[in-house]
Amino acid sequence: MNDHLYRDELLDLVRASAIQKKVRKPNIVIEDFNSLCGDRLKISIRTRDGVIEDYGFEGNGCLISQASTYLLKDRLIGKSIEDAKNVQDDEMLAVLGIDNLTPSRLKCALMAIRAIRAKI
Amino acid sequence: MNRRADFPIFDKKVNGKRFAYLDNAATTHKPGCVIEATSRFYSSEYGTINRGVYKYSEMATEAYETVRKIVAEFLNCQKSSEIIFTSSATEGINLVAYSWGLKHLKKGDEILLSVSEHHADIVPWQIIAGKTGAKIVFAGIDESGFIDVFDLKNKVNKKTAIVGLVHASNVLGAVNNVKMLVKEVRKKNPKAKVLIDAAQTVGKIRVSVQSINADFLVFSAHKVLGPTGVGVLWIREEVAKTMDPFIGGGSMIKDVKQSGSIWNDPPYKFEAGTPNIAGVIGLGEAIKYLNSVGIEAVENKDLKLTEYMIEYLKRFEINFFGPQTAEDRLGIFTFNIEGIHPHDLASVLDTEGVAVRSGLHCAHPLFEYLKTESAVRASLYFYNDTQDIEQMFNGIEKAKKILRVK
Repeated sequence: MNDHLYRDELLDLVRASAIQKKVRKPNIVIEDFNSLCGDRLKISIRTRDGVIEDYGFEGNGCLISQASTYLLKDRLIGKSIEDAKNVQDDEMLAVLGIDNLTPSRLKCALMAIRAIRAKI
Repeated sequence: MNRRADFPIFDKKVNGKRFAYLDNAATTHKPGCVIEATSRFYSSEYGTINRGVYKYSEMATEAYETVRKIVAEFLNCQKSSEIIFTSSATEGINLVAYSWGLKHLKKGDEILLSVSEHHADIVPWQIIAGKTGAKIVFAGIDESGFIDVFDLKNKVNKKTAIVGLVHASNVLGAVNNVKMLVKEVRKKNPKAKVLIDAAQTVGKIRVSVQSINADFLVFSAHKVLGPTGVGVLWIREEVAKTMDPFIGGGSMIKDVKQSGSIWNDPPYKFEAGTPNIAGVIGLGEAIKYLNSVGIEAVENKDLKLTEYMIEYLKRFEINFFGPQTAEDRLGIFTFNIEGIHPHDLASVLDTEGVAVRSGLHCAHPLFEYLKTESAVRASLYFYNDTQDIEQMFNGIEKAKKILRVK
């Protein structure tokens, strides 16, 4: 069932590139902690005229949470905060290309978008 | 000794693979006799307890009270009235925190805990400390993962009101010499009460409340082959007499008037409401089964499997927390594979039919102390075999390949 959980594209992404980055002069910083697994995320966003112009994150987590937090970038940059908060769980999972996550792994995949929705 | 066949769940495949269950520190599986006993109670013996004069109620009351005696004997406790049934080990500690703590703790008193306590033996005390003005003090662990007796002794003083100690850590596997620790605490402050969290040791090694000589001890039925929703709290009789009830309701009173109530005697004083009767009966059956296997046989099997696990971990050059030799520990192994997040490893192992725990294991202060973000935990019980361990290591090899780690 989890055979394509760790598909090549995600592994290429997480293993090959430096996916974490600091945003210069962020005006929104969100921190989140998953007490079940110990994942910690610090998401930084810089907006101009209400539009997200830069997005980055730091922290530790599993492959699923790291990849999903990174991939959120393309969904957020150029959008308003309101639009960013409207990114749906299904959209996030479609970006990840995984449709068979168990409930606890779903939390990993949706950690970043849920933090953005709840904390901005 | 191979007892795998006694557990119906192992007839099942997991993700098409043989089921290798290595999360016994979290919960244990149930032998057929326990499942049958609870089912039989509901299908042909069901009744409530302490409330009816009709046959099934009387039978249920007798069965429930018989389990109290079975548990007392299992813990080498002389008075079965010192055994209280709760909903979990966690509830047992909360009961002590509220019923003893709220009554006896005052501003400036100290609650001394080890840093290796499970959240269940930390958070209730934080709540009660907030209500009473008492202060929580932590004692450290030594290099091997045992509660540091010198640090503990140093931190016991006149203000120490209660000491909470884990018998065996659910992360480190280290079995603390609680008998000696209790003695040392009492030497420095004879008035201090001591609570032992024996959730990881009861059913794994012989636990005697008379020998340990603490004031409170808790364990959980579901970790000793019994059903979920039942915990056991032992309270020394003299101490129980000084405590207030925990929750109010039926059974815990002798008389109720509009102007007030008179509490029942322990253990009933602490058992308000209709309890988990089927669960308690299941616990009784679980202990009977464990007695038929023999605790010494359980211990020996755990020791052999622990030695086998250590051999493999060393061969794979995997560092694990806690004592490095089998004699001083239980089969609870917490470790990390470099380059693989614990959740990812656990997910791949799941596809191989291997169940392990990953995360922080309800012990955040300990992980902070160990400077570790999270870890994988594989924990054994006597129904495991060497094949389960081999299956896990084959799974680790597969995870390394899938996740591209050397």
